[in-house]
Amino acid sequence: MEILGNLFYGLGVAVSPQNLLMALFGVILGVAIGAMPGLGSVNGVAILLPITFAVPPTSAIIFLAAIYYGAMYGGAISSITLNIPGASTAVATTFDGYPLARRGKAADALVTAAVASFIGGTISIVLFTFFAPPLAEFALRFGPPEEFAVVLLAYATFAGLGGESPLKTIIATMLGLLMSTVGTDIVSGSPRLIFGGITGFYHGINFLVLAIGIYGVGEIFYTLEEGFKTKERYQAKLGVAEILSTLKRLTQCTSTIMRGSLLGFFVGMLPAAGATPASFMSYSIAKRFAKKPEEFGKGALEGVAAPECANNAASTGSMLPMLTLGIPGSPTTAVMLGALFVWGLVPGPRLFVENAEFVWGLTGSLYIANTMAVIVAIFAVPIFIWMLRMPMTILAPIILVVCAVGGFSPTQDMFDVYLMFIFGAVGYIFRKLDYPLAPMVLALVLGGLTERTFRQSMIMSHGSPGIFFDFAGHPIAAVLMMVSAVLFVLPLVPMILKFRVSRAGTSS
Amino acid sequence: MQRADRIVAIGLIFVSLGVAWKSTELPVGILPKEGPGGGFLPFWLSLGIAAVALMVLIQSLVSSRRDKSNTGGAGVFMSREGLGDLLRVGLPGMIMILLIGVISVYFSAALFIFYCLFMVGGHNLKTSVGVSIGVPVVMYYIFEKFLIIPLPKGYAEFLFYWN
Repeated sequence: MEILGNLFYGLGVAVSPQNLLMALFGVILGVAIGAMPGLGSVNGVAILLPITFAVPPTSAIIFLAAIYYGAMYGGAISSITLNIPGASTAVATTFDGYPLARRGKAADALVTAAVASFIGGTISIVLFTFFAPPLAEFALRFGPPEEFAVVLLAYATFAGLGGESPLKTIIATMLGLLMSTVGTDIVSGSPRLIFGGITGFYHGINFLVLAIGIYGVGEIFYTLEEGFKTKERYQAKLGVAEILSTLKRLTQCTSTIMRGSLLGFFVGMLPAAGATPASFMSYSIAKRFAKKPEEFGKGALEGVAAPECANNAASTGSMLPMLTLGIPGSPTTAVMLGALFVWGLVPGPRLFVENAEFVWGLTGSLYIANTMAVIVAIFAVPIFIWMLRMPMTILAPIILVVCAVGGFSPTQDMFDVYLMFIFGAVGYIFRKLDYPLAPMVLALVLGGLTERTFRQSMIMSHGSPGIFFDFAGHPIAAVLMMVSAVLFVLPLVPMILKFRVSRAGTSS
Repeated sequence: MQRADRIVAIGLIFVSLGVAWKSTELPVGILPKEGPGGGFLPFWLSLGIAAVALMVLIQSLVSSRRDKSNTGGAGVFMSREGLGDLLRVGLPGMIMILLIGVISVYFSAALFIFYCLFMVGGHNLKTSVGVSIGVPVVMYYIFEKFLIIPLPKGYAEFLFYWN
């Protein structure tokens, strides 16, 4: 009951005119920044941080949280309309969002993304409100072995998502991992695979460069080859009736959204994991549970709902360890943590006692910001639909320019723009030859984390892989390893069963 | 299509063997008390890619021998007209990207957009000029003014000193 009292107090703080205005501005800016390729919530929060020093800390964190939420919504927009993920968290949204847009259902996809994000956000805010301190304790027990087990789980859930040829799926995954090893060896600190000192390789290959290259540039190449002038951009309809019918169809995705939201919250809470793996895992789990998994990748509404609810849920989840323990769960919360120190607040359990106004004001504002974000996102849909109606001859060159800028802004290095163009060409060829591209992007996103957590664990155990199966010392890791082992084997079970049935049939 | 598939597989084998060779600059074995060395992952990954690419190549060769009529995939890799459209925009796109570091992203984008709209797309002069000036101006205000992210300007840097 005390929590409810606090919550109402927090909502009271959040609906003060100044804070409401901050939340609205934050959401609008967040949606705009999130929709720009190459810029995500971390850029938005970092760039607008100085503005927050002019207002009281409570208003400031409300502003930052609103940007965070807005960016999560915005990231989906360019994924769906242009096939260019606005941020890493929205990569999984391209898988089904863009096919939907191509079929003239961009509005459906955008509304689905907004509503799923809203539900994911709400579920995880409720969890945040009621279980913050005990959950933070749990997350603190995650060390390198547990993190590695979570990453492995992400791969395991994704194993069934390849294309027609298993060999090509394996190649694509390994290429992604190989690209993640370029840069600096994390243990010894020596440069690795920089090919005779190419400076652009020292900072590693940013996965956004690959994602924008293969999805953005590659997609333009694909469209160009199909006929540049003759092809009108796909029809996109929008009206109240369309929105209502989408909402009705969304009720069929309830279980997908619930699963994705819970998963997103827990994965987001873990240090280092965050919203990107959460969205991938949610997508592949949704596919596994789906009645018609063959529709995934061709434009299933569930394929948009699953990653979107998970990435929003994860963004709330990742704020939890930041506030309760001072450990950021994502790059964005790391920037926010820095802001907390600048405002003179010390994160930790005492924050909840000593700065109750701040903590509960933030919690209250999460509800408000989330509601505001869904409204802003739905109102923004017609703008993007209008954009989609432009002829390809105007849209294609603009998209190529936007891709170039998107490739440049994460690292501010022209080398990455050249690399992005090369990835675009290679990705285009790969796509024509049925090499699946999604596992490659996933492997590059998770590659660094995989290697780091694995090698840290090995150093912890003095080189013994037994650390991952030590039920006494690392029970969480051991259980997660077992679950991923089961998930890796699961796709093989129907094959074996079929084999045995056919043998039984021939012998009788 | 089948030929393209084989060429890519052979290319992958060569590239990955090259990467494997570069990986040996760091220890590729398992170090005592520390687990795998710095070169371990890239070395074995690239050998793995080479091995699987070889399997793809063999698969493609075997399947064509078994069935002569099967050309693999959907016929030709790329039609002549498709390639023409691709090169008409793709090559200038490449030049646009190379010019970013020389005449700034803004001028390079303006030239490229004008070329695509007017020369390839067949839009009228008014639309072409409008879009090719409008997009860089909007970009300038969003990135330089609002987000304070300086985009590359090359030798045209001095033109942006006025503010």
